[in-house]
Amino acid sequence: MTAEAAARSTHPPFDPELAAGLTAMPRVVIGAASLPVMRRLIADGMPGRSKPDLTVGGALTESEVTVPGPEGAPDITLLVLTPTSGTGPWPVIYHVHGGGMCIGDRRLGVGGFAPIAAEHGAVIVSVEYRLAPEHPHPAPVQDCYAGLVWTAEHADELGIDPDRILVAGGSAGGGLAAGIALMARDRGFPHLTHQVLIYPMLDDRFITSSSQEVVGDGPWDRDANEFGWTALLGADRGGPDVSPYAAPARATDLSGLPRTYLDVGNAEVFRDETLDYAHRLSAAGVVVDLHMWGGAFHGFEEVVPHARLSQTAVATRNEFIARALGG
Amino acid sequence: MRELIGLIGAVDDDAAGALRVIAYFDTLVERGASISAFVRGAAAQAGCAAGFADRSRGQVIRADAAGHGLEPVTPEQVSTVEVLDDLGAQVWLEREGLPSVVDAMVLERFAAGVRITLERTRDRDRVGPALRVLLDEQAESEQRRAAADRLGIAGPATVLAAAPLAGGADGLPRGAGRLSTRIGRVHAIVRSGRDASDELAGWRVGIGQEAGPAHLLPASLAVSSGLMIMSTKARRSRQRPQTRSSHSLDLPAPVLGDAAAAAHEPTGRGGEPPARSQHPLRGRGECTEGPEHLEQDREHDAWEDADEHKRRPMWRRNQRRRRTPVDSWSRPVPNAIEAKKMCPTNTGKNQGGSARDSGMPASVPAGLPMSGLRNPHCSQVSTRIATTKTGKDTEDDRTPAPLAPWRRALRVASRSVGDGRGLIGTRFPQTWSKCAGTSGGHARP
Repeated sequence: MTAEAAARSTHPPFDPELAAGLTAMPRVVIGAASLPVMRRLIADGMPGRSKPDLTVGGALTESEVTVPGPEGAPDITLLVLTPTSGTGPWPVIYHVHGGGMCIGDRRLGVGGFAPIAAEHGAVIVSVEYRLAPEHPHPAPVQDCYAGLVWTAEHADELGIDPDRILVAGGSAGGGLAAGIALMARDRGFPHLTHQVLIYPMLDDRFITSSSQEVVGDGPWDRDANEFGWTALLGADRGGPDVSPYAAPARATDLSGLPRTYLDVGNAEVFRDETLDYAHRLSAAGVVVDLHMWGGAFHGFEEVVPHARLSQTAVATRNEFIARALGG
Repeated sequence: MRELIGLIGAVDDDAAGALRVIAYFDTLVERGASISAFVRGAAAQAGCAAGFADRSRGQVIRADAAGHGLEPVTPEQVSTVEVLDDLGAQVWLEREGLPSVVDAMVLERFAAGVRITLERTRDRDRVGPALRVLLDEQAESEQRRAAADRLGIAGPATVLAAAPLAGGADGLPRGAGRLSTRIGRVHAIVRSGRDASDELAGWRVGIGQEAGPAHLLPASLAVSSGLMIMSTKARRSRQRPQTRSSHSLDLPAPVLGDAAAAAHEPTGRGGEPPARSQHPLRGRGECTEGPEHLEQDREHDAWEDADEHKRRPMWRRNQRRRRTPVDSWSRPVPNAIEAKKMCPTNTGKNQGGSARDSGMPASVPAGLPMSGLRNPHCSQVSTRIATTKTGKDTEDDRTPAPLAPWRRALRVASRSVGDGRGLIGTRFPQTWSKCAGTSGGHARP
């Protein structure tokens, strides 16, 4: 972090261990120029980091299916991880990856859910959606919803229980998961039991304090967020005509949504919109778990997984998911 | 650093890896992270298990590369160990197979960070917080008693304020905690009873009166801090004898300030401590001098300052000397203290006889008034010490000014008790007027 960035940022200070991990990480500023580099970095893995073993030492088997996309759109690919032992029907974790709407692939972030799926016996389905800015809204959220519908409709084929579907995602994936939960509610299919929204990207308006606090430091700052939303919504960003499926914070009616787990850093762009979403969901009668981690930046448990705070956050989240899966 | 790591990473992965390690541990040190954070960091940076052991506490912390805690036992075999011998600690990596290129760097930064953290936290962990409560005038009696329990202090105790002599001290004395006061940071030590003089070779020490913990130890700190500063001043002036040889005062340092409250002695030696209004030091604080005496003290102070003195013309110097009325030293003596030198090579009570390099007497009985100088011993003190030091008679009874530091220090100490606001820490006499303004009870006697 440069001194200039520190002067512009007004967020709460980062946890010491997280700050150390962040300092040791190469900084790449997301933008139109760096987008190809970022995508390649995600695809090839971070330097110095081994790729996560999605099979958890063979406890899960990895397969992929190509399924029809939204009407008039290309097919989409789903990554499917199925327990090797035991018998179904399994509950399913329908996973939507993050990456600011413009980077990432179906494997990104799945490693965080694989151990819990292996331990408690669940199928993971992770969707490869089209990315902005090449494919702006509604392509990403429609791809995600199409994959979800296909999953629920092919429960027998996948060995899953269509009445035990948990949608989950972090960052942009959290926003898209919240979006498809709204779509599933509005369209009456499929039935979701839980949504696990990890520091979700919910609001394109930049009207909260936290959306302005992080500038020039942390893995996802105000400018990166602005780039992501602009990639998704173009000139409509912040305007009056943005769909709640693109920016779920825009939804005025949050009743009838599934049981919700939210967690967010105390020092990140998405803090306030997550707190507000938790508040409004609760007011709408939804059962909500909310965890805000003091001094945590966006993606802290992915960037510095060995930190005490990261371990606590992951353990807390996994405990919830284990309960949700009926374990 | 992150930008640099990114740039270098593009051309030289090993160099970037080393930079990552440095940046990581530097940030942990900067941010005051815990020892376990260093262990997790070392394990994550090296990609293998790492550990820390503190023999003095029997503590072992281990973590695997993912940062998860491992069983706290010292492994039989580790690949690389860095021993922090003086701290009774060691850190290691548990690399299986060939060492990685970053191992040496990780271990070195790991050890350096742990060293800094241990040095920073050890005394704080043990005595710092308890001392702060015990010596905080604003703390509740119950809290103070609990703090005394934690420190193992039962019954009357004495507060020592200590500062290291140049080049003389290494580490902290046993049981010392750093306290921030208005005069800056003070090493405070609380000892049961009067057993206060051991292990303090190389330290300048002021010793407060013996008191019960519940009410009186902050007062004891006030006195001891005042005395310590006073001895610092005396020491400083001793280093410039040529400017004031005719009346040089060589005060013993460290000095022992006894509360000299024998006449009022109901204080917490067993039984209930006295109520605040009965505080034996309170009355003294209230009968210290008023502002006009302060003016004199300011002059004394300036006069005493050797450099300032040199800058003044002779007539002005003489004038100032004359303007110090001998009369002002003849006020009633409400209390006296006993000034005692503790020879660093001596332990236990020093009642006399032993001497330091200067050849001064180890124990100097002194009558040091809080607000005036009627006690004839005062001038004798200055005479005797000066004589001892210089080997010839340098007595000058008409110039009592060298005693001013004593008076000021004691007065500040007593004021801190007198108005109950904890004025210890005031840089006297510059802030005197401010103090006087906030403490209405200090009228002239």
